[in-house]
Amino acid sequence: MEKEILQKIYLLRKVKPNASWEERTKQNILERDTVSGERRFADVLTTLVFQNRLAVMGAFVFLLVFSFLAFPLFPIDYGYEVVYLPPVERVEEKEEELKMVAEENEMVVDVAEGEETIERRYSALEESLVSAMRVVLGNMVENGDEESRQRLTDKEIIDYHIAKIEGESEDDVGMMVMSIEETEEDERLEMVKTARDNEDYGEAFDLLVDILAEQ
Amino acid sequence: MFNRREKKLRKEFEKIYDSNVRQIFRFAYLKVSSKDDAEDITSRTFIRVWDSLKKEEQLKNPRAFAYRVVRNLVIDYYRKNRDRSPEDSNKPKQVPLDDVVALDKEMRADEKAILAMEVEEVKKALKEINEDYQNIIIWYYLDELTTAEIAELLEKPEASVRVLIHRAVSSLKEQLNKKPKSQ
Repeated sequence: MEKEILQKIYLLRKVKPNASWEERTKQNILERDTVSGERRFADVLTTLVFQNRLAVMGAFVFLLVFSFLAFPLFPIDYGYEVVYLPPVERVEEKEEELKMVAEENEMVVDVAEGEETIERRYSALEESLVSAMRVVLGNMVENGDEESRQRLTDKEIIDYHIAKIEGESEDDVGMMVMSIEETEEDERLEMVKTARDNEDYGEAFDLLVDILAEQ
Repeated sequence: MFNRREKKLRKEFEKIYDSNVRQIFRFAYLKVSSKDDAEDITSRTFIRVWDSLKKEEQLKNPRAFAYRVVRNLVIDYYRKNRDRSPEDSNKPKQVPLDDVVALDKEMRADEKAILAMEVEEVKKALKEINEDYQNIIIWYYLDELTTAEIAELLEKPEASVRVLIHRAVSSLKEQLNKKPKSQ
């Protein structure tokens, strides 16, 4: 009897899965993992971002604000640069200016050719120009003899010419409308006064020469 | 692209799967009596095996692990189907015999029919006995597990397992000898 029961039990050994299902299931399990493995990074990242969305948004806003604030500290190279005249050209310009004043006023001037450096030559030329301008303006002072004019200070010469120009303007006081040139002349006269007050007599002489040349 | 570790794990899994899938399927089928449900339970069992293998990198006793998983899944299956009517749960889906039973090619149709009837009879009787007895009969006689392995699965002493085997067979015998209810 026992044997009979066991034989019946052993019949159940014949129960088995379908062969194609067996293979398909194995592949599905392994491939399922491959797909989820490939998605895993994206899933993890999405979950992290979603769970910490406030922090992520905060970080984004901070970066945005920081980039705007930090922008001026890191200037962008636009591809061009400001070019300053090299000293040699400035010296040549100053020399030309001095020679022109000398030629116009039949004067002999020192063009400072013996200076060793460009900077020293430029300074020397500026001083020569100021001296020449002083002589020119001094000669324009009507009163006094040669000797007296040479004793005049730069300031006195400038004051004389300012007064002279302002005195001529007073003749036009009665006019209701001033011409454009007269308006510009007033502005330049103010600039002459400012230069005089700052003891920048070279600048003041330059401006006076421009004004007087136009008169 | 898989690295070496991944390849090793896949190979390990395939080995575990190939050597246990038929036993696990049979166990599930004899418990739930529906081919589709048995396939589903088997598939989920091996998914868990694969997940654990990846986590632990090595399973100490893969077969015991798979049996524990399939047993739990069968219990879950019973819980879910508790509300189904007894007629529905006992009524098996009509499936071709060779889908679940290994048949000899030389078998005639009437031989196949007899075999199908006998298998069905034993299956039904098995389902009527105590669950532990069912498991022991399946593991000991069908899957050929040792008493030591069964003891580990049931978490009982080996001596108790030998007693249980004897009782399980007696119980099944009693069930098989019961006369069918008259229609």
